[in-house]
Amino acid sequence: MNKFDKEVILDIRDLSVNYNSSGNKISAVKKVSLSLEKNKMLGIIGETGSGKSSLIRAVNGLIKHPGTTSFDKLEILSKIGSNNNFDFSEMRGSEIGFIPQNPFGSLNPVYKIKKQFNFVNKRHQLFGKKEMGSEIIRSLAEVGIADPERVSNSYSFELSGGMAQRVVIALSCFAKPKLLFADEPTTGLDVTVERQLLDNFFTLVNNNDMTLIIVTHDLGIVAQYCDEAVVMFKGSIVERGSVEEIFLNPQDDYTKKLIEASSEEIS
Amino acid sequence: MKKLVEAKNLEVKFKLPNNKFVHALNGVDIEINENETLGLIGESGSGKSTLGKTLLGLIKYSGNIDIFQNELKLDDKSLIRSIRKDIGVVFQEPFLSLNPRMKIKNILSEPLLIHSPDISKDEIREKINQSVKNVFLDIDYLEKYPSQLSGGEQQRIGIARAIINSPKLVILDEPTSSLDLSVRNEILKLLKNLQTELGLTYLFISHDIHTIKNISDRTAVMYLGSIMELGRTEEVIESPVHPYTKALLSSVLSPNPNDKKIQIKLKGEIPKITALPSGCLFSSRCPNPTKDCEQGTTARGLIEVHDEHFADRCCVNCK
Repeated sequence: MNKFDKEVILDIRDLSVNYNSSGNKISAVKKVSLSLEKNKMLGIIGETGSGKSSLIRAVNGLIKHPGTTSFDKLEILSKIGSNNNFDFSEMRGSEIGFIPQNPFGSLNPVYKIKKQFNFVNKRHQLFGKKEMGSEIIRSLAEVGIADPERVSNSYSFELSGGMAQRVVIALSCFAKPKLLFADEPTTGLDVTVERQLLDNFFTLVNNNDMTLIIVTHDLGIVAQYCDEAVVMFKGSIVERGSVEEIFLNPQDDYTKKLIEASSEEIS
Repeated sequence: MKKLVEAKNLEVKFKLPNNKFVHALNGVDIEINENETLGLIGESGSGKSTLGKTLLGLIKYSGNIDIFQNELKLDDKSLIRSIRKDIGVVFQEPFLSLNPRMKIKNILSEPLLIHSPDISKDEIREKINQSVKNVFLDIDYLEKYPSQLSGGEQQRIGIARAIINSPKLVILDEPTSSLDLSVRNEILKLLKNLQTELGLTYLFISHDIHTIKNISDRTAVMYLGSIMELGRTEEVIESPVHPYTKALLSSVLSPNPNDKKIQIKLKGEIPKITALPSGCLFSSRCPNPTKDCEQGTTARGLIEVHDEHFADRCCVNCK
């Protein structure tokens, strides 16, 4: 196949993340290179401290001082940054979206949900005032909320964990970003709720022509929903491949151990 | 088979400031046999942890609990104390359940000093040395603080502390859910070893089916403070009879990409625990409810469907 047939939406070269805590330098991500084609679903898996969250936070420009991000090249949707500089301000929301782990940490408790949609609209000028009401309802219904009317008039603390995470997903997708990042979006949810939310979420991503990178320690999510998988260990990528390659025929020793641990029978 | 615990018709209610009640347990009947692992599985708010705490005598309840051949009475302080000596507890967050300002040796000697105040220093030393060996840690760990240990090591200390008084029963409340996969399996292996070596009985609380499958002999599935299904673990997982168990099992994502399961969806969400459905507890989610469910004419409780395999009486009639 001609390599120009595929549209590369993300290209990272030699990206590192370091944290300085009281004189100790911790290298969370060590010179990682990664690229991704349009409309792919990529799962990044790894255990605590593997650097998976730091990697996607860095790609969204979310590593704060005293942490530092450095890279040779960062290309997101044909916008190129080099020498550790990348201007994220024009991209957030409309080009790239980020779904954090804890929904209550990202929803503002003093504003009703609909007001928080209005903030997104104000920033991105998506819809007129008259359309907004129905657009909010549509967007909440799209993530599988059965009573969007009530939810849009609620405060975040009035919602269950599953509902709040659905609202965060709806907000992140409101300005139709082309590349979406999700950091452990269903951790802490019950399995029945998690499964329904993931079904809704992946349908939404497919229907809106988005590309997704999802970070998780739950191998099942990646095996069941993603096209490709990346395995991280101690700040580096140890293996990358299609979901079938990684889960059915892993090559790297660490990947093998991880996959084994997920289905091991203990006697 | 000797029964360590026999609880009948347990109900626990918590009063809220607005005079509503949280109905945490709604008529639970449960028995724990000596030397077995009983798994409790269910989603948040299903009453798993409340049941564990009730057996410890930490919560006011109505119903009847026979524990180690004594009837549990909350106002009998000396009885409670002797029962607690025989129950060890391991908690979910290993770091949060260890005092950060105490050295491991002090953390481990505390339960000894509480339950046998006359114990000699040599005896303490011997017991704590033995207990760190039991959980495969070095004696050097005794001089460390919890923050110097990894999550898995902290949980080993949590386990060592729980078994230091040679308890008859150990309540494990989500002991592995905050740990990484590989560490989780190590801890499960350790628990299995200890059970064979020391003849322990476990009540293992978890929301993870893979964990329960690996450790439990029998499993109880809880929903809204009530047991929906109970039986030998293989049987409950391989051939569930209750629609809730079926939905729960079908929601688990397999790490094998070729193993596609279709989720059996239940209608609606878990009802608020302050406003239980009238009638059968499962009536608001039941796929084919009958009149009996909504009116609650069928008596609550479990009925035997196969050999030693029980399910909710009302729901068995619906399917």
